[in-house]
Amino acid sequence: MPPFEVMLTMLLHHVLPALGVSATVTAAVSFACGVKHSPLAAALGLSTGAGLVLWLNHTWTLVPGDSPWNWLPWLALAALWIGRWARFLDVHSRGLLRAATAVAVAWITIPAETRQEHAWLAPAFAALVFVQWTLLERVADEQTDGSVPFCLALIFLVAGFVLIHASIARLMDVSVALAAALVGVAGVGWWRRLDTGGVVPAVAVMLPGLLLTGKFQTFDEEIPWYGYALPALTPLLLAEALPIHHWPRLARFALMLAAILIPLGVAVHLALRAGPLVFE
Amino acid sequence: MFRLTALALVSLTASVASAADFPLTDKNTTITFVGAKPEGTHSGGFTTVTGTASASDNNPTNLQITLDIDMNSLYSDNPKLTNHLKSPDFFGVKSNPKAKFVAAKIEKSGDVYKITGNLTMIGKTNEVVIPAKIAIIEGGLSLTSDFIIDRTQWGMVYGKGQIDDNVKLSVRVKTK
Repeated sequence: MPPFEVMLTMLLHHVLPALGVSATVTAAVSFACGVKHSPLAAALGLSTGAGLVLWLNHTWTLVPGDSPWNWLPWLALAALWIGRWARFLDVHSRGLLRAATAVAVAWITIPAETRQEHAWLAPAFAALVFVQWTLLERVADEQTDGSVPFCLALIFLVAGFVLIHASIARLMDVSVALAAALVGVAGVGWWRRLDTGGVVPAVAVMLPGLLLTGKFQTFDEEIPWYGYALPALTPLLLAEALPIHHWPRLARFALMLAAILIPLGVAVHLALRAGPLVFE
Repeated sequence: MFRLTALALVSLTASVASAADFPLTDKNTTITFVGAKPEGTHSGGFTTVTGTASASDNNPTNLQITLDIDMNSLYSDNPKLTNHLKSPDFFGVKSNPKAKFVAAKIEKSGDVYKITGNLTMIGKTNEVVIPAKIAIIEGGLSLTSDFIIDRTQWGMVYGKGQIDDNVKLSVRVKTK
């Protein structure tokens, strides 16, 4: 366990501000613009809550220097607004726009030498962003109870756990800030029965992006590649909620939680095998 | 004719001796650092450095120094900390594998010399002014320098407020 001071600092500097700001903004926009615009409220809540915390804590830059990985937060922000715009298009145009964004994100974020070394990586990353975006937005549209952002928050927390065990606290900070902001959105979403799908484009970019950055930037080789891949792929399991959308709210939520807890538990186990954290 | 040839040889030898080149390697050059936080300090360094120092007339103020540091060779007093220092929290070595120091000007300042140069690391170049004891004797270069840099000037802002911004650096060069 990290020392109390470290956890208190994380709570005061990352968790509470991100949660408070995202909840306040989501609630304010949903009241001001009406429930019809709840995806916009959720998108604004996530971007202001997480963005403010990352900026205040100097964690907006993921990697020091001019690394392409640093584009990730900007691309996530761009995806949020492209996602907002895509909602007004027909199904085919929306799909094309999402696919084009996913490809652009993959090619801009992953450094050229990494793309050349692993030819499959950028297409796989782009495919994952596209599938998660498409699938999760549909699930969130149907589950207007905050369960999707809550599950995503849990996944980001585990991603942060993996990343700190890979000795990259900066990426963990980003994961925790996003998790806290998502909890804020989830709380308001549950209270006001909002469509929180507005957060999905940013999540689809940031979650696999952070874990990929971690895998390629770490010097701790103890965590195997699937230790990073599991949390990145876990959101796909939330699709199980689609065929059971008529179930009672709590039962559906319990099943979604149960499904994601299994791969997340394995990821935590793999991270713990990397050895204890050093805080002295 | 013989005298002329001898004179030419002597003057050539003298000019070679007056412009000395000192290759800098990890065998004759060490760079170490000490980082601090309220709970204590950690020390480390770099095992792979390469470069050259050349001086005309054996005069330290004419020294031209270029030093490349392989950031992958970073070490510390704890293997887990070494990995953390190489990570994007600090040096981001996978994206920034090299650091470089190029001396621009060396001036005598009392008993020591003042080296003004550009230190490039993490993709950012900043001018540093460092005090050093320099001696060029018997065809060898000896340089000792202890100084402090502010890591945040190179964008290394992780842990600000919990880890000191100032890092103590020590450079030792002894080519003979």
